[in-house]
Amino acid sequence: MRKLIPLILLVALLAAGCTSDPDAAQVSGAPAPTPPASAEPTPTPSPAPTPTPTPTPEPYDYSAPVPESEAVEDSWFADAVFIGDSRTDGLRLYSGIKDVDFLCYKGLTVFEVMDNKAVIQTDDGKVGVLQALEQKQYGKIYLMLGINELGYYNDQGFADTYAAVVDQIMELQPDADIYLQSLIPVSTEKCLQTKQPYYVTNEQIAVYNEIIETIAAEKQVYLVNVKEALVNEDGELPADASSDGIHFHKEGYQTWYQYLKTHAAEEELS
Amino acid sequence: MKKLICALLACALLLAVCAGCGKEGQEASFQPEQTVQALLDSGAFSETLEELDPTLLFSLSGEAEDYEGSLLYYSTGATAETAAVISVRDADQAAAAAEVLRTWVEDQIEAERNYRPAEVEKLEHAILETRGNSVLLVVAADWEKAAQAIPAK
Repeated sequence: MRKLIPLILLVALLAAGCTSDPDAAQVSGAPAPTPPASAEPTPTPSPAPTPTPTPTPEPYDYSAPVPESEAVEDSWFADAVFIGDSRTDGLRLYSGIKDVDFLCYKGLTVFEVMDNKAVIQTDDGKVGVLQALEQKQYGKIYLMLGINELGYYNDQGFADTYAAVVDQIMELQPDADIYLQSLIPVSTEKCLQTKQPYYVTNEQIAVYNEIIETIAAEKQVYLVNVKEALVNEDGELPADASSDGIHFHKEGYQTWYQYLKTHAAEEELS
Repeated sequence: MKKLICALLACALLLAVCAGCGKEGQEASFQPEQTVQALLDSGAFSETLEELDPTLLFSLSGEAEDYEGSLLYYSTGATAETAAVISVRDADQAAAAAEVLRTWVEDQIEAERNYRPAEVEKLEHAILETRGNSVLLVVAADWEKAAQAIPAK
């Protein structure tokens, strides 16, 4: 019996070790190994958000006229010059525009501009339009020519020379934004009444306006559709808006100026 | 004695007339509003002219104040017709202004010659007259009517 008691104790100890709660205190000295705590799942790193690409601005569509925008202040034209004929001279005198340069002359044509006809009065005497552009740099250049060329019956010649004038302006004024203004139609009724030359017709003006639009797109310069500000539902200058069918009353020049103020290129405004 | 009194009265009358000239011995200037309105009412023009700042049209030297009171009516583009009275401070300025207007008329003749030949005749019959401290310029379709509308000296 004495020999069995130690054996029974040993068996009891062994049995206790096999069934013991791992958390419970052990009878023997070595603590039961703590099983590893259930591990938090390693967070899967969220992938970095794909950066939204900065939208590439749409390239400016020079084949379309400058759209309407909020009116600019008069001061916006401080670095502008207006090149043109007697209609542009009317803009100078009657629109209310102030402190802006004008290179204009009655009867001026694109051919005379290219030939550097000396019509612009300067401190050093009369010079051509292109010579005048050599003397000062501008931020904006507005061009309206074509009415006095209607009788040339040379559409290609007009197109080539107009384009050449634009090329010259770009070369002389590399930092300027160029605005080609559409030709404002005439009043057929008033032209007949006042016996204007037979070749001054809206049909030919429309041909020239297509040419000007094409040049604006090709040369990547702005097109300003001034004509829409002054024509009636028939696409003509109203008879009561003009004394001779071609030039405007004071209100017409003011309307023209207001149109320019609300049709400044947004690229310029930004 | 009677002769002396008459002489004194004549001198007094002469002085009174000259006082209306502004300067002793100087002829009366054109009255801008009165003169221009008479011209506009005369039927001498073929279209309605618009009022315009003279310094925008004419290359007048000096300051804007020198031309205070001046009046200009001009075509809005259909013709070269003009009715203007330029008022200045003194006779020297009047002479200078007259020269500017004379040059302007010559430049317009040059511009219109190949552009609107019908306007050349009007310009060639332009009325340009200096009175006192003022200069009158008229370019009219009917220059004879315009001349008749100008106040007598």
